[in-house]
Amino acid sequence: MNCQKFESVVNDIAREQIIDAAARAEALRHGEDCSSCAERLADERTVTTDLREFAASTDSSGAPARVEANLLAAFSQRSEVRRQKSDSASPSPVVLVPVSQRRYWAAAIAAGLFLIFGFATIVWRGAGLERFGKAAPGAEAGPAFAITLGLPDDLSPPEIQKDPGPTTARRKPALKHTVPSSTNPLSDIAANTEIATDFLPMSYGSTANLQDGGQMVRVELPRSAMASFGFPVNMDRANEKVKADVLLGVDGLAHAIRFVR
Amino acid sequence: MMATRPTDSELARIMLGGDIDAFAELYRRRQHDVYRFALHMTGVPDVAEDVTQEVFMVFMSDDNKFDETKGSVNSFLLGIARNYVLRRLRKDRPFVAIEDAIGEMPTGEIGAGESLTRSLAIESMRQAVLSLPAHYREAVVLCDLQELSYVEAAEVLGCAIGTIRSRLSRGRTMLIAKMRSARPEVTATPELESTRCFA
Repeated sequence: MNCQKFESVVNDIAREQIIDAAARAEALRHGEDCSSCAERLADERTVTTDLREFAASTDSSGAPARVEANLLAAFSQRSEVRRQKSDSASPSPVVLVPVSQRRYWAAAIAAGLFLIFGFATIVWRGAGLERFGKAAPGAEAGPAFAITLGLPDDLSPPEIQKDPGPTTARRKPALKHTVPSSTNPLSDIAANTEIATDFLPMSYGSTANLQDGGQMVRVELPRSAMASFGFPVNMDRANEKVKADVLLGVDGLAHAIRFVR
Repeated sequence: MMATRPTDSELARIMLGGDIDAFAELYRRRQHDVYRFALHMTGVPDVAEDVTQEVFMVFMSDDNKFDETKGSVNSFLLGIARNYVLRRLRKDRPFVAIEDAIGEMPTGEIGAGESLTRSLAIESMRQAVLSLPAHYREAVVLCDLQELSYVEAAEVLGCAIGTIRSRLSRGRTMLIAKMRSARPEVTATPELESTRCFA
C-alpha cells in the first residue's frame, strides 16, 4: 500500500469503522514503515478521541421542557382545527379529481364553449345575411343598407323633440322615436309617393356595422340642417322643419340620413 | 409477552392521524438528536432550541412531506434542522461571534470532576468545529458527533456518500491543523499567567 491509498482508509481506521480486514492490516503495516503516515494516523486517532469527548459532553443536552409543552399545545390546537374542519364539511364525500383529469375536463369544457360560441356566431351572421338577402330585391337607388330597415306603415312621423338640432338627431336618444317596422316597407313607400334624397353617409361611423342590421328613424330637422350636407337652403325658411330618415346602426349611432319631402 | 415498540415511521403515521401521544413519543425519541445537531452547528443553545421547535412544528404540519421510502424519520428531521440551521447561520453571520457562542454553552455539561486539561481540550475542539466551513462542519457533526452512518448522513444532506466521505476527510484534516495550532496556546497559558504574577 502506498501513502495515497493509506490516506483513503486512514479516516475509517481512526474512526474504527468496518472496513475490509486485509486493507486494514495492509494500512497498519504501511503505517509502521512510513513515519508521515504513522503521524497522520496518530493525529486522526487524537481527533477522534477529542471529538468523542466533545460529543459525550453534550450527550445529555436537549431542548428544554418548555419546547415540548409548546409543541404539544400546538399539536392539540391543530388537531382541534382539523376536527372542526372535518365536522363543518358537507356530508357528501368530496371527490378529489387528480390533476391530470382536472386538466382534461378543463380542456373539454373550453372546447365545448368554443364550439357553442362559434356555432352561435355562424347562426347569428347567417340570420343577418338572410335578412339582407330578402330585402335586397326591392332596393331603391339608395344604399343597400336602407332596404334592410323597416319603415312605419303609415309613414307618420314620430314625435320628435321641440328643438332638435342637427346633432340631436344623430344621437342615441333618437331611438326613442322608433316606430315598428312594416313587413313590406318598400310598397308602402311607393304608395305614399314621397320624394327622398339618396342616403348621405354621416361623417363618422363605419358602414360595415350596417351589415349587422339597424333601424330607420323618421325625424324632423330645421331646414338649415340641410346646408351642412351641401343642399341649397333658402335662409328665409331656415327655421322651418324638414323631414328626414336617419339610419341608426346597432351601435346606436347615426350612419346615414336622407331628406324627405 | 413484551409489546413491540413502534418504529419511528409507525409513530409518524399515527401522529399524522392526530394522535398526540404518538407525537409526544416521537418528540422524546428524536429531540435530542435534533437539538444536539443544531447546537453543534451553531454553538448557541437558544438557536438550537428555536430550531428544534421549528423542526417539530414543520413535522406536525399538513405540509409534512415525510416519505418513509426515502429515508428514516431521524434523517428527515435532521434534514429540516439543517435547513433551518443554515438559514440562521446566513442570517446571523455578521452578528454572532464564536467567543459569544462559547460563552453561552452550558458549562455544567463538562463534568466537575474532569481535569482542566480535558476541559480545555473539549473547548478547543468545540471552537475548532465551530470554525469549520458549514459544509465540512455538518459532515463532521453528523458522522463523528452524531455517529450517523455515511448513508444516513447522505440522506440528511441530500448528497452522495462519496461527497460525505470527502467532506468528512477534509473537515477532519482541518480539525487536526486547528488542534495542532491550538495546543501551544494551551501550554502557553500557564506561562502567561506566571508572567503576570511576576509583574
